[in-house]
Amino acid sequence: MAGPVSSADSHLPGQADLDIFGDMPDETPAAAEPSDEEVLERFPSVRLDHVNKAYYKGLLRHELRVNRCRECGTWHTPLRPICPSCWSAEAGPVPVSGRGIVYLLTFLHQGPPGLGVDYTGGFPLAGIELAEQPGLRVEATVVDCPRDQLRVGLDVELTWIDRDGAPWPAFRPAGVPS
Amino acid sequence: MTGRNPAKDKIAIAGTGLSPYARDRGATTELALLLEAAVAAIRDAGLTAADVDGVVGGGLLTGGIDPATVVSALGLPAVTWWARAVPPVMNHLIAASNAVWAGACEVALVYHSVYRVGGFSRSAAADPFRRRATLGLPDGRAATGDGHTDPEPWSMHGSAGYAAWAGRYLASYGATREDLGRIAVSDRSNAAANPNAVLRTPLTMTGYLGGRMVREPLCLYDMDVPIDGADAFIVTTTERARDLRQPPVLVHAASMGMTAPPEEHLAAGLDATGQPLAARDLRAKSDLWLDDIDMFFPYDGFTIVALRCFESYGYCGTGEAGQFLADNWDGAGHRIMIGGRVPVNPHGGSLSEGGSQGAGHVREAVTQLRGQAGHRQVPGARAALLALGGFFFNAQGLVLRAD
Repeated sequence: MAGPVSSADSHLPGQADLDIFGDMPDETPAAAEPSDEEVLERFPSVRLDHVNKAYYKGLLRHELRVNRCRECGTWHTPLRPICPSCWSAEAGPVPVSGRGIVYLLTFLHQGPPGLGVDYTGGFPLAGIELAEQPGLRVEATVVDCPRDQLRVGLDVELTWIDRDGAPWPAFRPAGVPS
Repeated sequence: MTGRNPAKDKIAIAGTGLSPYARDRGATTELALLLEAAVAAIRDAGLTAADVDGVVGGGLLTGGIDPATVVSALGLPAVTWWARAVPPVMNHLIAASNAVWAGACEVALVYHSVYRVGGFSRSAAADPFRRRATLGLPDGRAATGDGHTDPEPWSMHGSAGYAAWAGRYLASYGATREDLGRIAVSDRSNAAANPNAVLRTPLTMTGYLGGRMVREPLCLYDMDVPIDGADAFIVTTTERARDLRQPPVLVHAASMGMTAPPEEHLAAGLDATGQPLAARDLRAKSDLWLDDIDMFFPYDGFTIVALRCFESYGYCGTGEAGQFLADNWDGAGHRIMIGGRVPVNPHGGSLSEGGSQGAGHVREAVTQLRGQAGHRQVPGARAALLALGGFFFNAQGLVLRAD
């Protein structure tokens, strides 16, 4: 078993700051948690299950939810039934700040057709390291960024793109007005 | 990682069979390719259907063929062990070796097939039957039982992950595309002498650098070439193999390596992946190492994987492989020749012979160690080091030696 993240990681909020399974930090009080029926309807081609559905419900509320352990505080992607660091079952989805950096980056010059993706000049696909924890990463494209400014190390922030009528996470340069 | 190796030299590869590689084998099926290779391997060993009591295998793109289908199609009368294996081929070979060593079976048939399907190659997509070959199969990591993950262009699962890490490698160590290109050029030079290689036209560095960009920084020549084809091997005890038709090739040491998290975009760093772990475990198990081996087979499904093999297996330090290849370049042969003595992927590797998840590497090593490689025979070849699989969730190592 990997060791839990040290409490000296000061960028982690203390456990008292979080109530994972109760009321989530509610920044959009108007949006209720989507129902199972709604998430099934909005993501018809996604292999939804009883664990990952919380992630996709988050997308519908414009929340990027990441697994966080209530026992050891460690963050992990993707959502898992237990914490990979301490094996506690007290792990569940928590929205992240959306801040991060580009850690991995490629430009795809070809790919599956029919998705509305323009591969001309290279479609960016990045591994974004989230601010919450070193090594905590998600895969996403980067938008609103000129090709010559898109590079490993760029500070980015969460934004949203539409895919098949549902919101999906993407990232854009941090703090730059669109 | 134990370093224990009680099966050292006790298990042998006693037969090989090939269903020849081609860019397009036309109106055939994956099972037909597989059976052609399997029958050839059993006959190569001088055995019959009644001798085969173990079956293990699997292919990549279609989900592969189940052992029960192979038992049915070959009419194997008495099988006491079987397993389905996910490529690369070392998963199949290690499973077979362990099963023979444990007494689960005496003679194991190992099979690996590649069959171009719609969605993977444009020419395959033109065949309506190949478009249906993946019907019902899940995409991305869903195929591994991990809920839903999108395929490209939304996820790094697979090729895009290697491209992204290649980009980070180049940026971190000041490496260049020429460093990657040496792998591709060397493979192509070697492939010229391999009639099974599908790409045999010489490739220059200029040609490499002008290759169509596919997933930056990887161009067309950094990625293995899609083929139809299959390989099969017969694995048995060394004792039994010595009574069979072909000179035995002994499994001296074998290893696998995986570290958490194995997902491409989550790996902590290239030195923290399964590839260096497989190398360390193999080193602990093997009496033969870099100074003792006569051929090196770094897996080259992507050039960056092969480049990193030189670092993970200890030829040089992390970030130094480009310089190592420059220092060990055979200018006359346009290929890598380690210390002027040890050739690298003498069959042309996956980049030029054809992408077969390491099956071609194993077949070539066995052929060379038998002394049956014809025009491309490595003189006096007695031991081979194979660094197979990728970085993340499928890294493996193998030392084979002549009896």
